Amino acid sequence: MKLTRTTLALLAVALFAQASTAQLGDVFKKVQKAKTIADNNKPWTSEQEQAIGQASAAKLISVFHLYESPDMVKYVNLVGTTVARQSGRSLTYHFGILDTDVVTAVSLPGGYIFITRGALANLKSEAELAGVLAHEVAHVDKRHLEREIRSQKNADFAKTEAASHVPVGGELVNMAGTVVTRSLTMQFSRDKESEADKFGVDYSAKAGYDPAGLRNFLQFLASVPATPQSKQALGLWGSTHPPLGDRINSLNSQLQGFPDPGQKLAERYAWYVNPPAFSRETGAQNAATVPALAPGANEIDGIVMQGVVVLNGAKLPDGTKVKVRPQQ
Amino acid sequence: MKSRMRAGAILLSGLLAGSAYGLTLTLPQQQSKQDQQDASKQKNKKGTKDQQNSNSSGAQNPPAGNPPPSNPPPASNPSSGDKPTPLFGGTIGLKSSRQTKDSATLGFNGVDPNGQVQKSFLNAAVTPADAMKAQQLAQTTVAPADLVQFLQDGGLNLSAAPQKP
Repeated sequence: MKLTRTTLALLAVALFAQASTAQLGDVFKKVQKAKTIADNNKPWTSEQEQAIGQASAAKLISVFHLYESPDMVKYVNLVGTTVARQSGRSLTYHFGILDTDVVTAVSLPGGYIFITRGALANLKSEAELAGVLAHEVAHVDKRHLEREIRSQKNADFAKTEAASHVPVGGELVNMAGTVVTRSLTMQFSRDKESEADKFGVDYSAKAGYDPAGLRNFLQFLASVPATPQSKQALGLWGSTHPPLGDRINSLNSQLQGFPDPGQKLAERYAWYVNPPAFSRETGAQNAATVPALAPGANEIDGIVMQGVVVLNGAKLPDGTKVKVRPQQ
Repeated sequence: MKSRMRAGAILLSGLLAGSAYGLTLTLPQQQSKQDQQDASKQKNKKGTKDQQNSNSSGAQNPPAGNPPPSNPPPASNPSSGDKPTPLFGGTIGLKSSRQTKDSATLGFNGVDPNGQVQKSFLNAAVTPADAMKAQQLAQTTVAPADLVQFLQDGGLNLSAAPQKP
């Protein structure tokens, strides 16, 4: 009988302990969940952003590869920095060129911004390049991608308590995969795209560029005829950005507030980038090609800068030779 | 050949600013008149091509805003001082930029015919070489002096926005 009482007492204690543990477990889980939510609402620290950004850049480079022309990379960095310094964010931006005919631009956390060779081949001026890069700078400045990742409940980084530390190893690899997949397969919300357009135009104008650069490029994209090649070139742009018409209309409204035309710098763009040199005969390229010489015309205006001929917007078949003589 | 157009050229104006010269390239309406001269200049073709290549990879300043900046004239450029300038040479390539297609892959890396990124590319592991390139990109910065020169040449705004907290 005594033994039975002792057994019952022990059983009661065990049951009580188990119930307490279960309750404590629930409380612990709730605390963890609240902490995760709190962490997810907290902007990434500079260290986190840099680590995730660089790992994501490596992932993006593995997909498209880099176009490594030192002069052109430097030029893109100069243009990008020119507009980025108007954002006011204390962040060093890094601009790279992806070696693909796909026409798009991508921004990653930490100030890593990429534009493709296909996009460069279809831009007409430095102002258009500035407009595209400024749009991407605005995405970074407003932490658009970061905010989407943080709000994504199933993101590897967000569902753990790791948001309070700088990810490393496999965790960083997974995070980079999430970031790049997100940036290449999904659209930002309409609000975020509008915000990037708005601030991008603002940065371009403040830098001294023609604020219509982005709008002009979007108008060109909208004019590209639908062909299998243009579908391949522009498919990524279409799937990761809102409809062009809506954006062009919004930009047209915004541009009315910028009476100063700013610099277009088409000639400098052609000198650095020379779009026909590495563009393909895609639908986009064909649409971009405006014959410099109309039927019956027999002259092309040009200029020589330190021995190098720069033609004013002329596009002629690759390999075309000309002869130049001084006036007698 | 259809894709190759021979053109004569007439220099219209002289020195514009510094090393900048105005010129007009003409279509070959006067082809027959110039054929004889063209033939004689073929002798100089190779040498001039070399000169152009030298210019393309050299360290000239690019054209800037409107109007063009006053760059030092070609004769004062030590890198090209010993060579004839293309302006007064024979045949030159039309490409006016230092960029050529030689270093581009000319292809749609990573996307399917619909322009969507292939999952196999997204799932592929990052190679050490890719990681190294990202690291090099992280170290890519613009020298302040280069930026100032760039802004001045383009007639762009020299001042930046105040930094946010």
